Amino acid sequence: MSRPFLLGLLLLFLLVGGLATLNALWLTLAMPLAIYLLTGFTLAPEKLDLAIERELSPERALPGQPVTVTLRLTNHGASLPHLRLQDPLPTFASLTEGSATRLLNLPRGATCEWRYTFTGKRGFHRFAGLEAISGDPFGLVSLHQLLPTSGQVLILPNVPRVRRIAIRPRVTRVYAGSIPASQGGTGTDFFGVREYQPGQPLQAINWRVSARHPEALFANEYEQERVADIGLILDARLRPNDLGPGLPIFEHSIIAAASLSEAFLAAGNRVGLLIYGLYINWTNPGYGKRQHENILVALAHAIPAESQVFSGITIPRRLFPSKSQIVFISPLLPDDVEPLIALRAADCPIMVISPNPIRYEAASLPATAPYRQAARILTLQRHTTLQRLRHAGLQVIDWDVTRPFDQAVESLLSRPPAYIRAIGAGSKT
Amino acid sequence: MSRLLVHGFLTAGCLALAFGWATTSYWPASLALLILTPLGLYLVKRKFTPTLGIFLALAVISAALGISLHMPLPYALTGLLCLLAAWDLDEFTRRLAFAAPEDTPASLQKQHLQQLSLLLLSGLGASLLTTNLHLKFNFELAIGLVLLIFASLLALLNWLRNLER
Repeated sequence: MSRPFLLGLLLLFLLVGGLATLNALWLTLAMPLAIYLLTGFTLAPEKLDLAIERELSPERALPGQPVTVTLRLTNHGASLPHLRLQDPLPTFASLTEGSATRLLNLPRGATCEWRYTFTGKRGFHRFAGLEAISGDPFGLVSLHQLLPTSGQVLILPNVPRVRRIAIRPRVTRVYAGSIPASQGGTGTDFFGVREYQPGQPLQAINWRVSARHPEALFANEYEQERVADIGLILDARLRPNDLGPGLPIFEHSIIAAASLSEAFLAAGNRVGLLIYGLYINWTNPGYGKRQHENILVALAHAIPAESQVFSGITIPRRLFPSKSQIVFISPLLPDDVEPLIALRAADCPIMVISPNPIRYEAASLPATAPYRQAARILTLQRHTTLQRLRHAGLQVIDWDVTRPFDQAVESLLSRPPAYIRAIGAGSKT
Repeated sequence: MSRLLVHGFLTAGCLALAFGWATTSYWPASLALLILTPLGLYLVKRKFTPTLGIFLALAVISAALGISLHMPLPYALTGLLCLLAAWDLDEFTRRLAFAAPEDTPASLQKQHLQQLSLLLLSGLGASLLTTNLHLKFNFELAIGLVLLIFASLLALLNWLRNLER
């Protein structure tokens, strides 16, 4: 029940009661209520006529970096003695300086500039508008208005630096890069010896081999290094990422995706990103810093969500060039093994980066015997899942998220594992 | 300070009404009010929003019935005014939560208290004036006035209901 309605009802009760009982004292009691009500209605403004401008600095920030919001409000209507303002903040942001709400007196024609600062975690927020409420001094009449403003803030994910990631895709592109292409040519690593061709530099002649075969001159050949197509797949399904409130393992997947994309793009590769969750969010493959920016923006928007259509892993192969390197980032479910093995069987080299959800969740639980036992059972189940993937020829990295990504995986990623090296020879351009 | 005043006015209003009822022969009503006071304070402390509205309605009903049962007017009027003040300040406290430090909440509070006290004094003055002012109408005029009041009140309530929507 609203305040004026309650007051009106009580007033009616006293007046009717006074008339019914013919007791004038009832009407005496009604006087303060009537004066209160009438004063409220008299002092209430008729309408709000406010103009608002918003500035955000910066509009793109890193987690923890302060973002300053400046609001400039001008009153073109009547004086507003009790103007309440509220700027709804994004859920991922926390206020560090100033206030996102105000209660002020704004005379006719006056301008109020207002500033506050917040920091936030990864995310994207579009400021829809400022909520303004004005009314009489006693809060009986309230006029609400949503003052539309433009402005959006994008908090990009953290990008830990991983210096080198050794991958051996089956196919490389024609441009020079850092991925061994299993083809002789110019490069740094020794590849083989072949007959000297006129035009080759004399430094390339292998004099020892040439001395053993006096009929011809032989020259060293080096392994070509080229760029490759890399597809990052981020698992944003709710089921593998939902460990309960306060356990955002998805944020770790985001960090891994950001870090890997940065490393691959820095090496000159062509990288695309597929976010697999509520729907398929595809960032077209590209090169360089611009693509890194595109990927970070896509990652800033990503949220885990549930979809019946995408509850299982069904990767649309046509999005990725044939035999390109695929990096799948997911805490993994046992059901995901078969689709990944099927993808591997289609001659796609796959690297799986899996933030370990069991260790992550166990760290937040009490170290009692039942929890330890449960963690042990789940660890065994996970070990079996990962082993099945390894046996199928996938490179699997089990990331203990209690350690930073760069420290945890750098040594594992700097050279491919022995079984991948053993089977990974024979790239084609 | 507003929160403290809300508690103070709630207690004072309930006590005034309880004393008023104690002067009549219906003392259980006084006891009920005394029992309700700590409950009201607890609910206000727990920030249960409708508490003061309910207490204001109780105060109006209690004061009106008390008056019919020979409760002295000063007790009834004090109780009603105190609870009206508590009801108003409770809402103001919620509004004040929006104030930023640069809005100088202390001065806003002072300004509101001045306005409220002026309003309550006007209400008190008008009440006292009506008790001492006696006008005599003939029957037809009195009937006409009653009908006018009814029509006005119905229009007011209708308008308030529309406002609520």
